Amino acid sequence: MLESSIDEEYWVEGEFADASVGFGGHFYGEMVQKDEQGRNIVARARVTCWARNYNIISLRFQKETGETLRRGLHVKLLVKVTFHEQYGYALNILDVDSSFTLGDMARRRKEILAQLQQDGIINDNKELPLPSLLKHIAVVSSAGAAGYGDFCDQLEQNDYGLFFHHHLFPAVMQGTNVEESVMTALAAIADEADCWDCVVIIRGGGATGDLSDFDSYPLAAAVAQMPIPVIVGIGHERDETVLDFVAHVRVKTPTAAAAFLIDNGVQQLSRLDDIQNRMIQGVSLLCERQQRYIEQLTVRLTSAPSKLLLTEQHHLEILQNRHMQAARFMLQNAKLQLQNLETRYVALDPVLQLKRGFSLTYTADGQLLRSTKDLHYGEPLITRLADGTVKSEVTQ
Amino acid sequence: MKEKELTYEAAMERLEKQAREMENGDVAIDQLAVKLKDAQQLLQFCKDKLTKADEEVRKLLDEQG
Repeated sequence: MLESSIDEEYWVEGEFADASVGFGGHFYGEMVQKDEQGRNIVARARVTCWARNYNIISLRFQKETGETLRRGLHVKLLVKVTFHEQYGYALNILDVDSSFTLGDMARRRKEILAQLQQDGIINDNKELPLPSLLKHIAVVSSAGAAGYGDFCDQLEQNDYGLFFHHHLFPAVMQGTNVEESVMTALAAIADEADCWDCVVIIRGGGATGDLSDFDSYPLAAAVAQMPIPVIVGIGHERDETVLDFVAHVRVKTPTAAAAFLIDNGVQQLSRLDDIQNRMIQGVSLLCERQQRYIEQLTVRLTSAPSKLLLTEQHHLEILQNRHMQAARFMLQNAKLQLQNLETRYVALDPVLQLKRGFSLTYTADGQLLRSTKDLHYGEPLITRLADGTVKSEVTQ
Repeated sequence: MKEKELTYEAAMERLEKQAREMENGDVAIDQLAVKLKDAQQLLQFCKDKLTKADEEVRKLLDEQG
């Protein structure tokens, strides 16, 4: 009778105070509305969802939000009021609004991030320098998780011969104990921070657990204030947690976390190769330059003496020319002098004078007669002509 | 006093510096062999850091194993 009177469908907003799937796959829960402060419950209603419909909407909801319809979750439901004589009145869930829950989760994250910002710690971990060498890895995960195994396998079987030393600090990665458990593990790592290069927080691959367990202010604050860089790999394909915003590095999956570490090692190896190549090039350049310098020196050293020789040779040639000229001049001078002498000598030759008709007259005692004064009458004279001598006597 | 253990970062820094010096030709030829030998040792040290277990870690693992 009541059912027929409230036949309409309503959208209601609230929080699951209880949620479970019972026998036959039907969903049973309790929905509450809290006051502005979120402390006191102001309205309460029992909710149900029949297995057939629950299978459809819970799958879709999970796909769209990454969440399950669980206790503590804020939801907006399309319901119809039903009444059962035995169980009383309940709201039968016809549909669930994914975007409302997404919006609610986003708001909660935003609030946490705003608080972290206000406390001035939101960038603390991000601002830590990431060591070049990421070798000693503290892992926060659950031991049995497939994702953890994948992470270890990938690290140990990397193709580059990189060695990693990783150690598990076990923690619950799903459910209401996440916050406390992960924080305990982080505290243990922080105590021996100088032994570790970084922290990796990873969750089992493919797990579809509630991501919002990680949307906790104390946990985010603990990650932000870790003294060594934190790498988180707990994200979801579409979704993210506040840890993604405070961690130094965020990746999607545990394998991606391993890939990040391997990639870092490979980068270091290639950096070393690069340095080696640069050194080889530098050395060959240095040697080449030195070689060129030596060649230049050689040229200078060999060309200098030849230049010197050339100058000297030139000098010699000039000297030689000067000598030659001087000699020639002297010879010519001597020749002229000789000619002069010869002319003078010819002019003085007495034989020549005699031939010309001159004669020489001597006294009897052989004295050359130069004047008539010393002559006496009857004195014999000898006159020499060109072709012989004539004897005569002074008669006058 | 015990000499402080060489870190990967410090080794890298030294390598970078030496590579720069060699590129710029700031190395005396007489020093080249010494520098190259030093660089080679540093390179090996860094490569070992990346690819081998540290002695103390090995000891720890042995103790645990």
